[in-house]
Amino acid sequence: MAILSRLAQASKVMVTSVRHGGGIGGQIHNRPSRWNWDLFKDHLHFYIMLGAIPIGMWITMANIMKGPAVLSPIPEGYVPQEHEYYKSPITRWFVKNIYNSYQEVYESYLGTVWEEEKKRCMYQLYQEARRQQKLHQDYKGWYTKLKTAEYMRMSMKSKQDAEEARGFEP
Amino acid sequence: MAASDKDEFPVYTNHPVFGGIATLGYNIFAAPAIWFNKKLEAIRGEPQAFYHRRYPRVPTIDECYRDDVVCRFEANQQFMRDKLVEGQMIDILRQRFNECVFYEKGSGMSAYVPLHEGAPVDVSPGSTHQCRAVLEAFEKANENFFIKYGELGKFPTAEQCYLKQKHRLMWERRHGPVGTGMKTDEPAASQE
Repeated sequence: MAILSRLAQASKVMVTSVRHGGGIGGQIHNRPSRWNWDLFKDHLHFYIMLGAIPIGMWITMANIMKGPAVLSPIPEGYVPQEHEYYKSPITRWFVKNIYNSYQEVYESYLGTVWEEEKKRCMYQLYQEARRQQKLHQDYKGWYTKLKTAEYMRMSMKSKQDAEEARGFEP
Repeated sequence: MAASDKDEFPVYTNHPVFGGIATLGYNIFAAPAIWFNKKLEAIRGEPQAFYHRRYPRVPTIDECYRDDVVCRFEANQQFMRDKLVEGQMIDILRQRFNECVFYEKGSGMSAYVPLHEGAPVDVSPGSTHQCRAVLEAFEKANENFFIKYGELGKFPTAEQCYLKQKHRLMWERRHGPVGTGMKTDEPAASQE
């Protein structure tokens, strides 16, 4: 009798209280995260709507309306403008309105080369002056250390005072 | 390409055996593209022109002072451009020779020669075939290119090339033309 009643009580061992709130306000179901998938969809949407579609339309319209240029010999006595050296209409637009021309970039680089050469020559002269000073050791320049006389006097006095304090040991 | 001169003559469509297949391929792949291109040309009107850039000649490296770095830089740039142009010229001459051989060799199994045995056409040194002249022009140009630019490395400079020429002229002054051997350092034969 006692065993049977003990066995009947076994179903009451693992008993926990469960709160559902009556189901009011909806139910949260336990499920895996969809955050990465949602983020991927966001990125895809962004790059297509703001990137691929506008730029694709720009490229398509440029090629349909304007079209690529055709290679031709340069007419006699004519100097082509910078944007007439390129084939695609979009590149031509960039070169015409935004980019610096080849000649401009080249000549400004020549100016840079000249300036750097001047700096290099000045530095070479500077180094030669130092070399001569080191060689002859006769110039008040890099290899002479200047000391103010006041500091010399101070250090001499402090040395004398220390000797007087401790005495002179032969 | 094939239909740019005539609308109704794509290549090989009048072949007795494969004409039908060629026409089918043309109709599937080429004809829609050509139709679309014609529609675009109607929309666009006259196409614009683009040109290849022409570089003005500047003084070469032998006309520059040693300290004039701007002159030397420009001479170097011109040298690099000239090397590319002359390399392309060699390419064109080589293609001309290959096309000449291909055109002259004939067809069928008799025209098949393995690569290591040479060209299917007689271009040995004494032959009078027209491809022999083309081959000689190519080989001469190749030899001159090697004399000028050879063995200077991947990024040669104009100074290196100029000095290579100077060293070659000095060597030729001492030893005779290139290819005739070097003279040894013997003292004078007889001194009396």
